[in-house]
Order: sequence, then structure tokens, then C-alpha cells
Amino acid sequence: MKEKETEKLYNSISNIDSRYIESALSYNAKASRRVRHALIALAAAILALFLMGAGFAAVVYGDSIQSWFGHYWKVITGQAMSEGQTAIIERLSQSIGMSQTIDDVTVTVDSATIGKNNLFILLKVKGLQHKNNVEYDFGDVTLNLAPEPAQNQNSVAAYGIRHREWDGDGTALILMEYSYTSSLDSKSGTRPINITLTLTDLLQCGNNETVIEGEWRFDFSLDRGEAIQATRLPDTEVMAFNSGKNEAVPVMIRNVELSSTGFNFQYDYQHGTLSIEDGIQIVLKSGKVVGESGGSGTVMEDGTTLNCSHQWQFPINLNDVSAIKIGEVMIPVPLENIS
Amino acid sequence: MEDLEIIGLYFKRDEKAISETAAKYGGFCHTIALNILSVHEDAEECVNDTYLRTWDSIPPQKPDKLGAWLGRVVRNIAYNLWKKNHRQKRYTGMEEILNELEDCVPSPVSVEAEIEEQELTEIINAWLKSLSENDRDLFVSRYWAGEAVNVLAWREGVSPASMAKRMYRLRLSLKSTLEKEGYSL
Repeated sequence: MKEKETEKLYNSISNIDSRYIESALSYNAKASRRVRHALIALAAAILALFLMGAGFAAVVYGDSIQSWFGHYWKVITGQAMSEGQTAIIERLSQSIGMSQTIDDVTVTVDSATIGKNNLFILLKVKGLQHKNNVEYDFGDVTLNLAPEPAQNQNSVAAYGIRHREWDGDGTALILMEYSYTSSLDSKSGTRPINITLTLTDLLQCGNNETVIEGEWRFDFSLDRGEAIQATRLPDTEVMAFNSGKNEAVPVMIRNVELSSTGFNFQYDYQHGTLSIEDGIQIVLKSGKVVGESGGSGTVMEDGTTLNCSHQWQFPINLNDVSAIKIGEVMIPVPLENIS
Repeated sequence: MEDLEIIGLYFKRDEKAISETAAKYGGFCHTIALNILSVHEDAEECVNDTYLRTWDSIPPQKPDKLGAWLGRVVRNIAYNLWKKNHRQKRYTGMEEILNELEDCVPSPVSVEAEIEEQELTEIINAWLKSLSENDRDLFVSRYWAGEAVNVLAWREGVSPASMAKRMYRLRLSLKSTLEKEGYSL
């Protein structure tokens, strides 16, 4: 260990130009916005796939979050959802139906789907002028949950807009996602979650021109009574990137749990030098593959174990799953253990 | 309250300066200290010491950018606490940062002279200037503010492994710059 040299470097970084510090601080302050933008880029790619098959004019996403997921299921797998798949999404989704109007623009919190470490909320915005190549965004979005799932010191939570689309009748549809990782036991409670969603100022993307000034605020509760399908998988050796050696090395993941909304596991992350390789995927019995929507890890109290939580793009019926793929490693999913 | 107004309160020796600083920058200071020390109580101690040191330093000092100035103070206090206690306490945040920064240290055979801290800062400033804004923000967030790699990955919408690789490339780039300058640390 070059202790003296690294400490000297650390101290020199302390006194870097204030402009660079200010820039990084504003980057961090815009964190939720950054997450939102990154996810929109992904949404754009998925939308492009969809439009190639469906054409611009005929897109109808339907009237609920269930039908929204149904469309994306078809885009990704090329198939209609099975009965079991439909039932899983139906079971985890609930209607909210809360609206507020400012200057003829009505925002409705339509419905939500709640998972183990995440939740989705579908918003509908009516009264906007639908023009080609014009997109809208809110100036600020805050989403507060009580009880807060990510309240302990080693938790990470993020939320943002995952998809934006125009429905066939000119309604703007927005899918929000909130996800978190906690170093505490991730068993979700059954008490309802109280949610406060505040949307401030409606802007036109690109020029950031304010279309409507005002605040749409919604207070609602989500029921968590429905059990989420889950199964334990065996400890498995997968490949991780060692940033110290700049090479891939094997690492054992433990406490592996697959649920219909995500994938949780733990591993010794060697004090930050080991990161699991990209691409955790769910392999369906049909042979189709569904990627994750994102994930993160938090350090457990022992200081050496990273607790990771990755989320699927929509709830998935585990009876339709044959394996989980991490890099090149396949972990079979036995049917008999699914609860 | 605007930074200039807060600084004005310090100059008037109005104790409201501390509560306004805490209201605007308390969370920010706590995050930096916690990123380094990973222990809430010790981070809180650093933040309180930061307020005290700020009260003692302004005036005569008059920071141009109060946020960056406070960040430096809390970072230094946290660093000193780490130096004092790290043999007894496990401060994982700082250990990870120093482990990673070791990648930037030039190999002894490639260097000619030991560099002073201030001169090293100037080289790092020039190197930061050469980066894209996004890379610069990420490097400063990680090695100045101590943000965890997986948090940065989440914000960027990429996997932790991708972010770790990106950070590794940045560290190698800094090492290469230092070696080209022909210095040792």
C-alpha cells in the first residue's frame, strides 16, 4: 500500500478548483433528474422497437398500468401474455384514479404496481397539445414514501420517469418507477405505503419553456397486502470485474432470491474493488430473454458484504421462467420452490 | 437564503449564520462526512466542527463559493478524524477511496522529482479541465465528495460494474498524466 502517496493525492484533490466542485455539486443535486434522463434514453430505444412494428398512429396503450405492461411484454417477447403472466400483473396492480387540473391540463394518477423493492405509477396528462417531436416534462418531481423503505444509513433509493408515450387519444402517459436497496432485511411489510407525489411546472423539453406554472400534488396510499412470488436459488459462482486488477474474476453470490419483480443477492465486494459483470437477465421458458430495469447495492453492517437488488422491467410470472442469466452463467429456476 | 446573505451574517457575528448554514448545507456536509467515515455519529461530529470552524474563519475569510468552501472544511475534518481513528475504527468509505486512488500513483521508475501538494493540485486541475463535463463531475463526486460507485451508477443509469470500469479508466488517465509530467508523489 502506497499510503503516503495516496494520502497526498487525496489532499491535493481536496483543493481542486471550486468551479469543478460546484459543477459536481449541481450534478449531485440534480440526481433524480439525472436518473430520469438516463431512463428516458432507455425508453426511447424500447419505443423505437415498438413503433417499427406498430406504426405511429395506431398506438393505444389502454386504460391502465396492466395494459401498459401488456404492451411492453409484447414488444420485448413478441408474444401475448399468458394467463398466469396477466394474473401476476393484475394481482400486484391497483387503481388510484386521482386527478387535479391546472389551466385546463389535468394530471391523473391512474394506477400503480407494487413490487418487492420497487413500485411503478402510471400518470395520465390530458389537455396538452400533441405535436410531432414535442415532448413535455415536469420541472421538478418529488416522490415521498411513508414508511420510507430506504431509511437506514446504507440504503439507496432512486425514482424517475421510466417511459413517456402518447396514447392514441392524445393523452400523454408517463410511467414512474421508484426502486431501492437496503442493507436491512428486504422483506416488504404488509402495511400500506402512504405516498406524496408533487409535480411542479410543466415544461416543453428542448427549450425548457414553461407551459403551465403550478403544482399538482397527490396524496394516496398503496396496499401491500398481496404476496409477491419468490424463490430461493443456490449460491452460485459468477464473474465480477476487479477494478484493482482490471480483470474478470469469479465471485460467489449468496442469499440469492428471485421474485416476480426483482432479483436480490449478496457477495463479498472486496471493499469496493469487485462489481458483478453487466447484464442480469431472466430467461423465459419460451426462450425469450427479459433484461433488468436497473439495480444497485449497499454495504451491509459487516462492512464487507454488498447487498444487491435488481428490478425487472415489469412483474414476471415465475412459473414461466426457466433460468436467470448473469453474464454467461445460467442459474436454473426450479418450479417446485416457488412460493 | 443566498450565500452572500449567509456570509453577511457571519461578518455581523450574528449566530443566525450557523442555523442558516445548517439549513442550506447541513445535509450536504453530513453526506460528505458520511461518505468518508461511514459512521453517522462521527459524521455528525464533523458537521458540528465544521460550523464551529466556519464561525471562527469567516471573517476574515470571505468564500466566493460557500458550498465548495464548506465541503473542503468538512472533508478535511473528516480526513483528520479518519487519520486519528482508523487504526481502531473501520471507516469503509475512506478505505475504498484510498484503495482506488492508489491506481493513480505513478510507478517509481517513471519519475524524476517529488511533487509538492500545491503543484499536484494544479496538475489535477489541468487534467480535470481536459475531461468531458460528465467524467469530471463523476471523478469529483467520487474522489472529492466520496460518493459511492454504486450510487453514481444508479444516477447514471448504468450497472455498478460499468461505473467501476469508467472510474478505473479515469484513474489510469490521471496516472498517465502524472507520469508524463515526470513526477512522483
